[in-house]
Amino acid sequence: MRKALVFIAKWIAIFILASILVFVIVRMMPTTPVEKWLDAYHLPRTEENIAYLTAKMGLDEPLIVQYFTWITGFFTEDWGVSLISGENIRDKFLTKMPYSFSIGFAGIILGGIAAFFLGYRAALHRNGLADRFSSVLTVFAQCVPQFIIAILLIYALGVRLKMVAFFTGDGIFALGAAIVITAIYCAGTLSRVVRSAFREQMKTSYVKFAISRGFSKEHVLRRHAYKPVLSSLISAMIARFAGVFGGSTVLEFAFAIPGLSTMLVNSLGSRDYTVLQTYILVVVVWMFVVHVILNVVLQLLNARGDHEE
Amino acid sequence: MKASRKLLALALVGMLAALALFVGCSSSSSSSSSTSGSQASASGSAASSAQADDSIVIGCSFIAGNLNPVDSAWDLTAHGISEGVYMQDAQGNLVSRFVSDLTRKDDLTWEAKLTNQVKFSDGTDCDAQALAGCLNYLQKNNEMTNGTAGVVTFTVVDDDTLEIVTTKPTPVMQSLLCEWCNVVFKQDGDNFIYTGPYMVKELDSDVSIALEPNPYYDDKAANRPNVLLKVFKDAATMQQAFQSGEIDIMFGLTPEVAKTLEAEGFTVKAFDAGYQYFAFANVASGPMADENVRQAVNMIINRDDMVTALNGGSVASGIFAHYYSFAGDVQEKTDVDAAASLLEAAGYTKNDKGIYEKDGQPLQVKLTTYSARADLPILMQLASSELTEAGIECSTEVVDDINTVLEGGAYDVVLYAQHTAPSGEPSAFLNMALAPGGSRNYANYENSEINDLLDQMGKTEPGADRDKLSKDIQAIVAEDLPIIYLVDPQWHVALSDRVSDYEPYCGDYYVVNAQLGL
Amino acid sequence: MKSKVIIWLLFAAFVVFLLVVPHANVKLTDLTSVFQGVSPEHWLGTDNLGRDLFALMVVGGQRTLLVVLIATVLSFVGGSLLGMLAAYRGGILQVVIQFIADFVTVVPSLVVALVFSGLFGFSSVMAGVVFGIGNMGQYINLSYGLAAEVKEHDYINAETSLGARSPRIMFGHILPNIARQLVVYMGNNASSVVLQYAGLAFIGLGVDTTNPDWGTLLYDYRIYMITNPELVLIPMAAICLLALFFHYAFDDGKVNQEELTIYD
Repeated sequence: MRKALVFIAKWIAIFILASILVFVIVRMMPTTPVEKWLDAYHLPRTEENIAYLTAKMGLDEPLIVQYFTWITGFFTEDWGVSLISGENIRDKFLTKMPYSFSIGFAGIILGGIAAFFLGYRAALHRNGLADRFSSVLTVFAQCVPQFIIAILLIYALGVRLKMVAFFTGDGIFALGAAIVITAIYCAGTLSRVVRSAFREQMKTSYVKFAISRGFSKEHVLRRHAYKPVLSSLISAMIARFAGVFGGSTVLEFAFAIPGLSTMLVNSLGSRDYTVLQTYILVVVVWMFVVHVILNVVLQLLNARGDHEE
Repeated sequence: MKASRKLLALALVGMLAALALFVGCSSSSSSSSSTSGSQASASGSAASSAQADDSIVIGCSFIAGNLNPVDSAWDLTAHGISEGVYMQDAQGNLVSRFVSDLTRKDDLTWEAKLTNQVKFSDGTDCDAQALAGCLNYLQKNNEMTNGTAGVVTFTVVDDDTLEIVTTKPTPVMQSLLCEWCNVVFKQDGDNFIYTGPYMVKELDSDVSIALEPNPYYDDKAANRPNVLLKVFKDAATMQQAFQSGEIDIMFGLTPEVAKTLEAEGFTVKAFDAGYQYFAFANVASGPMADENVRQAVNMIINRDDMVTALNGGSVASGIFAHYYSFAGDVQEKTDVDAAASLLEAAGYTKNDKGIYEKDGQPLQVKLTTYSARADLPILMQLASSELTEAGIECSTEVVDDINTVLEGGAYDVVLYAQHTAPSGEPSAFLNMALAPGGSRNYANYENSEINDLLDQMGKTEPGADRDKLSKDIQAIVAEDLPIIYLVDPQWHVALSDRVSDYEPYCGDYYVVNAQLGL
Repeated sequence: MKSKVIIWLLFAAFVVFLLVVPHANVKLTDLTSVFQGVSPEHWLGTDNLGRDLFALMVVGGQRTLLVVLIATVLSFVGGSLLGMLAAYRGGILQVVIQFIADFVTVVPSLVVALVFSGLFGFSSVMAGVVFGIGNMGQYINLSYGLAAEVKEHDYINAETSLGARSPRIMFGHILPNIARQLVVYMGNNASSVVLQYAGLAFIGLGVDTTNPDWGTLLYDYRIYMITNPELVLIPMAAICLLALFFHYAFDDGKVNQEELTIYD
């Protein structure tokens, strides 16, 4: 019980600290939202214009008041409104989230599935085709930007073959393409995780024993050795879920998908303080959730693993 | 081996299944949430309705955030939803559908005769009452409307007449009524109703705006198709969407993209931007404070090359687009030899590296610009190349926030783009850029001759005399060079076959005009 | 081991080459010779403004290497130390460091880049610092995990009970044990900074096409991907080479050395 209290207190302290940091950092960016707004419409930054807009956006209130309005609102599900368009930030979030989350989640899960099989083949035949392919995929993800792949994909399927309408219609193809590209980009590293986990298992005595009893090598791996491998893979995947926010910026831009990252970049462009600070704070909370889930999953997997041994 | 193949097949099927599942889930959840999140009235996602009917799809880089005239008047007018009391036509003349005649009674009082022919998009008349009401509302709720002549009051005299009283005298009431913030609207509960050729069907902020023709705009309304404005954050993506035939009109083409699309057989039109490309010279400090250096730089820059690189436009003849009656008639010439003798006269000599120096100090000029207007970095690179070749050491920088650089004063030359006559009138910009204390007079430039001319201009009503004053000022600037004229640009728009007759004008001010789709 | 020496020598030669090779002035444009192919005057051809691509690659290479160097050193050194400290000390320090790791990962690099550019002006050095801070979280987590494992070993406890000082234990015993894995991780991830830099350009900051780096060139030329693919392929090839170099140069035989299993 005491442990739980300490745990909660710790996270509340961290949350408050984070919220103050976020609030300050956002306001440390050069150029105020007022100046950005005037520039966007080629209006002069006269004192009258600045004073009028500052008051209109509510930025003339003392910082401490602004902070408390924001943070108390955050807890009561009133996330305030955008400085620029006056939209309800919470509604805006809920509209954009499905896009970014489906790209992130589906991409990572798909990539994880592919990585499992690729890693399995790579482990089975050291320096074989699959092994080399998974290495190449890892390096590929580091030197070929996603936007190049997106351009080529749209060019091939949309411009040349005219098979797919990426931008009009319900946007399913744009989303699907973004998911597949995300999957390809995380499959490389994840398959290396799977591969090394499998090779760890190959050294264990129970594998050797099973093979000596006459089971086929593949059979042993697939039937018995996969569980610890899966646990490594899943924890690596969950760690990646932390990046689901903001991880899809380039793809959202390249396929004109109106997700959270697009919203973030828009708000950065206009220095929309209220949207920005809320966005970052939500990511902090999300990070916390991922940590908790990761710990729980790891404990579950470990417990099960121990049990079986 | 067989087993592995089976496994591979299984993996493939699994991947596809997972894909289908996720795509299915996410699309259904996204469409339902976009309905609840959007502010506009209609249901269903804007994009899906676009496919059902035969909308003209326009790719643009931003759309209005909401439909409120105080926040978004500018965007709404650009989208063809709202109208200013006066608007510019393609020749830069000010025209009004609301006012037939505007006369000045005395220094502060004007009388406007109304046409009474305009209807709001809900079919109600835009009468004198409605007009005065909305304009007074804006004067009260948007201080930006008070900039030119203080608070302006609109009073209904009779059904056909409005009396307009300003706080400060202004000779240019038409232009005041053409300012972006003075749009005509009617409030109906939480909704705003406008008078433009199109009305909003659905707004999905940051994503798209679906428009339908305003049936009460004119007798051609029935011929207008629906329009969908869709946001693309990346120019390369927008280009691909156009090439795949998914959008009909693409604005903001770079010169290269325009060439590529033209070569592929698409219709690409150049249209007068109204925006002007020019450079602010720092006359207060640094190398550009020396008039000879300014003259030399002005002569070294090759504007013909700039026009070639931009694939359109013309060498600037002043600070306003050529189609305005008050545009300048300055002739800019490139003359590297004359520039060299000017520099030598100013005490500079070439060192052994071919760089000019004075008192052992090399002549260094820093060029700065910003990336939001993609043409500017191109111009900057050309200028920097030419200056380097002429023996001036040149550094370049592309910054995020150019106005802060200008206000900070740490610049030599800033390449800039602005629509210099957004309300069809020259004095606003000239005062900002050249008068002492002007908000764009960053280097505190002062010239008594120009000040006198500006004073006269403030008392002169539009006409040949006023145009002459404007031309005279621009001629002095071309000599004194607080501003270096560069290019009177044309922008490119790519059009699909069904809209190949469309003629946009005035830069990004009127993206959708009444001729679209007719 | 020999191949390692060769790789490092090649890299050193490459860096020297970048620094001393004579090249055209990147500022010079020539509208009469745009999109030229490979020729004796232009070794890699010219771009849309007639700029010499070889010169752009050389100047861009210097800048790219600088950014990668600063970012990697910063996140590697800072991350390793903080992670180790968290594992060794535990308690409130561990919580704080864990928070730092999460926070720098969470705050979008564009926000940090903007704040830094406002305070110090935006330059390649600043970009390096921004990515160095942003990537520090990964190194903190990794080194924390590794160090926590090592800490459990008996000999560390023995050292502690014998009265060894903390720095001695951390640098003398823990660090040598975890350094290998950290270095391998660094080798595998260092080059991703190049694409992060290009990513910034993609969303609108630091798109200074007049002062290029490989990532920005790639971004700038993406619209010619179809019409003049060499403009994209050349910077991409350079980035790939860089990635491969890091990969092999920091590859540690001992970490990756695999005992042959029954499967091989």
